Amino acid sequence: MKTPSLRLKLLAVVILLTMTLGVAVTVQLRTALLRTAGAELDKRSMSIAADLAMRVTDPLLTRNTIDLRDMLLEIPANNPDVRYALVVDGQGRLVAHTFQGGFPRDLLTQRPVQTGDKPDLMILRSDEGPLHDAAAPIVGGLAGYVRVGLTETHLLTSLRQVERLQIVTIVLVGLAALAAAYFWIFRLTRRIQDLSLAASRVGGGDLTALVPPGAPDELGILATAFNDMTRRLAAAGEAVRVKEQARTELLQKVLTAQEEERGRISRELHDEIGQALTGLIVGLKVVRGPEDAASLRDLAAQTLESVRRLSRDLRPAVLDDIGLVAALRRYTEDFTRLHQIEGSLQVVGPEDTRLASGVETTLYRVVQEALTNVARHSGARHFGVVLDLRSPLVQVIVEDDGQGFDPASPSTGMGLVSMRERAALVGGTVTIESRPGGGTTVYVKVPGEEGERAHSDCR
Amino acid sequence: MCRFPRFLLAVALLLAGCGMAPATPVVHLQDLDPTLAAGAPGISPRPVLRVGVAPLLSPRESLLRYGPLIDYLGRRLDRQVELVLPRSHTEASDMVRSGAVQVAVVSSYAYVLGQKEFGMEALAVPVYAGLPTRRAYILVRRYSGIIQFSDLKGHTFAYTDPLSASGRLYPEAMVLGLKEPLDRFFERTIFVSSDDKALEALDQGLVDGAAVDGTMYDEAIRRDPDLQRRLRIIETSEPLGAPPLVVSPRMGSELKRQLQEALLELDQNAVGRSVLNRLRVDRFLKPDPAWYDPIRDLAGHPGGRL
Repeated sequence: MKTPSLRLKLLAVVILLTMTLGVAVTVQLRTALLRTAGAELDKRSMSIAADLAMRVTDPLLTRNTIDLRDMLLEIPANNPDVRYALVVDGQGRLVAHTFQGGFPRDLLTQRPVQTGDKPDLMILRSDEGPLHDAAAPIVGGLAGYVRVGLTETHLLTSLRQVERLQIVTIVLVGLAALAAAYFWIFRLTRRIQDLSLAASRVGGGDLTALVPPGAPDELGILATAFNDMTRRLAAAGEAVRVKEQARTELLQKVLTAQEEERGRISRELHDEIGQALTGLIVGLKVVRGPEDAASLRDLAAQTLESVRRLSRDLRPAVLDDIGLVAALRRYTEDFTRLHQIEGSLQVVGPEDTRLASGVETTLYRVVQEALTNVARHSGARHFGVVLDLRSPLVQVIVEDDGQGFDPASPSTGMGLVSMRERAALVGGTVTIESRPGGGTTVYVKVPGEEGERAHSDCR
Repeated sequence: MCRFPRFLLAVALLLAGCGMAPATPVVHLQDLDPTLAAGAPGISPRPVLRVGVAPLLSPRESLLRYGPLIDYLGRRLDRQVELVLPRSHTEASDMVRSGAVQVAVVSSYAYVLGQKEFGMEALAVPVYAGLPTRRAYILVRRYSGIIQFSDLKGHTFAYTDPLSASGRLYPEAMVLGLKEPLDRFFERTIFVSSDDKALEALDQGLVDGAAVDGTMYDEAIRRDPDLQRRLRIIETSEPLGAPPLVVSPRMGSELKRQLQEALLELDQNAVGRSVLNRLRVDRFLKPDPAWYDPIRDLAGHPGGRL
């Protein structure tokens, strides 16, 4: 079975309400009118009877039956509601009536008349419908009484007319209301349809689907919320895309850096270790005395030192064994020795702090990169490294008194980019302050992880 | 959702229930009984005594005043007594003559005529204000400028009934006394059938003068004291015998005796006194023919029938 649409349901409710209201009003009005008109008919029958009782007194008492009958016949002629009128004298004899060719005996036998001097009313049922039968005494009942019977035929006819008019009015008004309701419901449900259409488009991946919010009612609020949601979804998708691109680029760079590193190692192996070993071999062929042997031993020792340095550059074992502070200290000392640039490491905070392995490696490599840049490009004579371990945000500052450069210039080298990327991998940032002739300061901020010291203690 | 229509049904039933009525008498208007024609006489198990009351008063007033007397006579004589209200004094007199009524209250003049013509017999005469006689008044409106009877010449005048002593014989005698022709003295005359109607016609300006029975005028003043200031009596007759209660000469002497006894004893018991009270009469007396002599004198003029 097909479920009826919301539009149909709302229309059904409107139709039901209109019809219910119409029927209730019609029934209620009919009842009220019938009651009012019935009471009016009662009053009229009483008044006609009382009036007739006054007028028939003289002709009745003087036995003027012709006048009497004429008077009675006038009554239904002037009042279409009057079905009959009759006069009964003081002895209970029927003196005059408005019937032709006889008299319905029931009217005398079925209707008890109170002999008081007050008019009295009774509703009779007849083959012609209900009768409002009023009896009025003549001369206080001494001379008999008159009776007048009014039918509801006339009344019902006009009632039916009123009813018909009312039904027509209700139907017309109901149709107008229905048309208005249909228009309104159509507008309402169209907004819902728009929403569901947009929702299915968003579900299908089209994040440009927006809904006109319309009036700021519940549906308007829903539409606005939906639009906000779609916009946020689109923004999130864009962020994911950007990050994905960055990741791809980073991977590319890592691979490139790896190749570069390999090339460097290869060059160093070939240029330094290879040459030294070749020198050793050549020296060994022509060794003649103890001086030559001593020279060859020195050469071998130099070669061993080169191999150790190379190894340390590749992966400083101290980092794993003695921690970031000691590793950096050793590296800065090596750097001073190797490049003849004066400088030192200053540590603020507890020196035995151990950070997450990734964080320590990152900081170490960034400092390494920064110092390499100092050695290669700055021409500085002094440098300084500050490691601040006090706050959850670990900060490293590397500064020099070199020639400096313009950070905004596009020629900023590969080294800076790789520093930033390394820091970003552990949620950190790198800021560079420099100007030509004014030295360079590199700020690195990385979130350190509390509890790492205990962790390292366990290890 | 399911409860809503049920609620509507209940409302509809409630509204429909309001129209119900208790059991009512049922009549068949189409079922006509031809034997029940209008005016069909009832059958009385007892002998009927019909009492006619001449239109000294309006039919309604006559019924109200004579009703208790009729009931009283019915019980006293053990008869079905019916009140008959003729439309004129002439008709009342004719009814006595023809036997259509056995007993009647007729005007004094009708009695005088009937006595002479067919032996109409007076049984009792009502005593009003201590007297079995009454005077006739000629009345005009107080500010009409008419201060004596001769001023009425060329004006309109209301008689009560052709057979009334106070309402016709007396004013005609006045005209004749002025040596004026009866048919030209008044500009126009009307017969209004009863004294209260004559007063009404005069009061409302339909006529300029009227002749009424003095007792009727007194009663009218009692009902509407202001009438005294609006009307003026310009002539008063000598005492005339009151309208008597008469019987047909054909009535049996026993019934006549019983009837007379019943009437004359009215003031001797409580029921009778209430009957008299309603009639506004002190009591009934046996008639004295001398009370009616002034009427015979008035009727002896050339226009009269005596």
